[in-house]
Amino acid sequence: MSEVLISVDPGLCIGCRICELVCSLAHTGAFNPKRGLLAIHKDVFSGHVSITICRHCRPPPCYEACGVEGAMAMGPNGAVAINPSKCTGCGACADACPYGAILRDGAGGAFAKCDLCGGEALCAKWCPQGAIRAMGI
Amino acid sequence: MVPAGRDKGDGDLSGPFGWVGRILRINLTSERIWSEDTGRYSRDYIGGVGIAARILWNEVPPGVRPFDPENKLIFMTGPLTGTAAPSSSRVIIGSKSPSLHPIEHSTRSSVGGDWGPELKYAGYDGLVIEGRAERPVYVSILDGEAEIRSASGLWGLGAFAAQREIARQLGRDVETLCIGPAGENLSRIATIQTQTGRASGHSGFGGVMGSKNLKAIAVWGTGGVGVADPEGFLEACEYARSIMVPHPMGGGAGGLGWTRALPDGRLLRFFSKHRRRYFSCHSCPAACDGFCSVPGVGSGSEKCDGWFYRDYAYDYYGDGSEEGDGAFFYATLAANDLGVDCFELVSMIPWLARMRDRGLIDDGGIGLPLGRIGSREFAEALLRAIALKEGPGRILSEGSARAAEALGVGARELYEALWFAYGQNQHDDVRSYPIVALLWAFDSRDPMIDTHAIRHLVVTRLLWPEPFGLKERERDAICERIFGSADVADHSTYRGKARAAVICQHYSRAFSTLVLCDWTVPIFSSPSARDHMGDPTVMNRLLSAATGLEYGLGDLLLIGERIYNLERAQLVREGRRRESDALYEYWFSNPDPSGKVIPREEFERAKDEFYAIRGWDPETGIPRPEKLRELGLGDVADEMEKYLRDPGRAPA
Repeated sequence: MSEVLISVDPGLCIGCRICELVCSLAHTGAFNPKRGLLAIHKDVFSGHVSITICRHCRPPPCYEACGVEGAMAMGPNGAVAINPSKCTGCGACADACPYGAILRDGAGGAFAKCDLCGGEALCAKWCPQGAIRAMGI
Repeated sequence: MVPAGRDKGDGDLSGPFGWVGRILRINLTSERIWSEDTGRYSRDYIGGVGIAARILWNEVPPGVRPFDPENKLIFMTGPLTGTAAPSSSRVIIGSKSPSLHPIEHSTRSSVGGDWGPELKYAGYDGLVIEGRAERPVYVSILDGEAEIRSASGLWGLGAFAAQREIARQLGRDVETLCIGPAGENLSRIATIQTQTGRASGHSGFGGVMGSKNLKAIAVWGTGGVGVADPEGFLEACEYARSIMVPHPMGGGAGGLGWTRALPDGRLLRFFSKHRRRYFSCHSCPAACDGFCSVPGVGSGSEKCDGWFYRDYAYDYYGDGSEEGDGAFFYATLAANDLGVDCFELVSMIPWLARMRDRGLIDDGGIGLPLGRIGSREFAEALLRAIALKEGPGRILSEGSARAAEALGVGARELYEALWFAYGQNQHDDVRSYPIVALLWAFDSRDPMIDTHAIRHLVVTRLLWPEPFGLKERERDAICERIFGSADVADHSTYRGKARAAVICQHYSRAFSTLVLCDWTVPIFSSPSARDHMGDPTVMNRLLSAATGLEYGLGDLLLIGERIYNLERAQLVREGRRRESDALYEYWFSNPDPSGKVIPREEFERAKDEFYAIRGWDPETGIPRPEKLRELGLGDVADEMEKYLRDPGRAPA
């Protein structure tokens, strides 16, 4: 399996939240953009939009910062995933992330991050604008 | 009982899939807050416009007036709201309308954005507000917890500032529906707003909110909306997206190229200078909202809202001028911020201009700078007067129909040349298109404004197929499939139009109960299909995969028919009869540019045909009891029979 990189262009984003919706369905079994593993912030009054999502850095600073055995694992496509049963919630990974992309789940408060949906990157697949792109390398 | 979706076995029709299961109820007089099962209604009406119609029938009897505490303001989503179904953001609002004239009928409206989905994440399929708060309040619904809060610091604020202040007070990224000063001051043409340019505009429900002393409703939630068959649901979403008709002003995927085809150079030039980005409603790829910034004016949404002032502004200041851009955009933002219905102004301003030209009103008499229509100052004076009910606004904020009555004979005559019926201004030409005349004749409000995609087929593309790449034989094939006859494309005759109108009405109620946006569905034709044939079954496919109940298109249209008949029963109880299924006299005697008027006899014959198809009494326009029973509305038939025996009695 090839490694995958994510790139974003907030200028193209229309704030439809389809990326967050499909992500939440894949990871929680139901739709709610707040439960996705990426975060679109849109300010409809200023027109500002930001896309917070893991870029799957090489090497990943979150993975290197994690001091808990088994709490983070790197998949064959380069995606670092959090193992919720081992994660102690210390936040070292979140502090190390240059993109602020280790999120707290909107409902439970646990740490969570993008796992590339097993390489499929549903957010990029479903984005109608190409504002989130996944590239195999 | 008519089956509404065939249960696959477990008997539970209200969730956890699609619907989240509860409707929140708030009485602002007693401050009582409770909830009820959506399942009580969802089997027969699904959601949206259907459940709103049922609650209106059950709970808002004929004697209740729009601004009475007993009037209810019903916000209903549907089982697709909050999912990834394309263009599923809208929430339907039902209430007695202060804008309709002469009878303040029960009617509907809707608004997009992100509020409807957020209500479901907060735990509710719908919200019903009744009563009247003693002092200004707003309602917050945060993860299931509803609270009535003081709006003392919010009253008087524009819609933009109010939304930001509420988000600050609650410390969260809430989605908020609110009114501006126009709603607070009980204007009959006040809107309910969200974000910078999304409005429930054309039914005057902002005034109903104002009458309840309710400034805003803020929602936020972390709950999920589940679907029964996630894989099948995403497949249906993907399919829907692949055949969707792009929005004419959209910036979403696929180029969405109508904008370039629209003969609207002034808007395009404005967008090329000032549009910073596109915004979409929740889960919609169409991105019809252009976010614009104009120095010295402000930032916010521009779509079609500003049409009421655009040509006046550029005629006044010059094409492409900065001052013209400023006046046009100022008018859009101010109307949305003050909460005044932009679409009413599309006809109100030319009406004022014509009255000025005839000498019926002058600057001094009415207190508006009528010689400077098109200037920023005029827009400001008019909008502030309406919103604050000051000076000329005391008359104009009542809406043009009532203002025309107040201003007398000449004003009324000019009014009828710009409005069609029920105090709703013209939308498409009832003389040029028989189907449009019929749709107008039977509705409670402008029927074209919440059926854009239907309208685009039956009016625009049927008449001028070429700009949209639709060939005549393709057009005829589409009409055969949807309407059972190609006659519907022939605008020279009323032949076949009564049946076509009935079909259009069922489709519109069907998608407004799911709830999907009228700009997108029912996908009668598709630009991406080789033969341009669309596929309305996408609606029932989405619904079936979401809920786990099997719906065919026929099931959905039958529910549409049930809803349409229930709405009619409510209108009848409020005084609607055959003779009021009518348009203003003007349109029967003043020809369109091609010389057509509404041919009175043909029109009345088409009405006969319509009542016959509907199973309504052609003499009175009242649904026959057996028709209501056939549609599973037996209790409505019983109530109707009692009402007809004694119209004065209070409903059970």
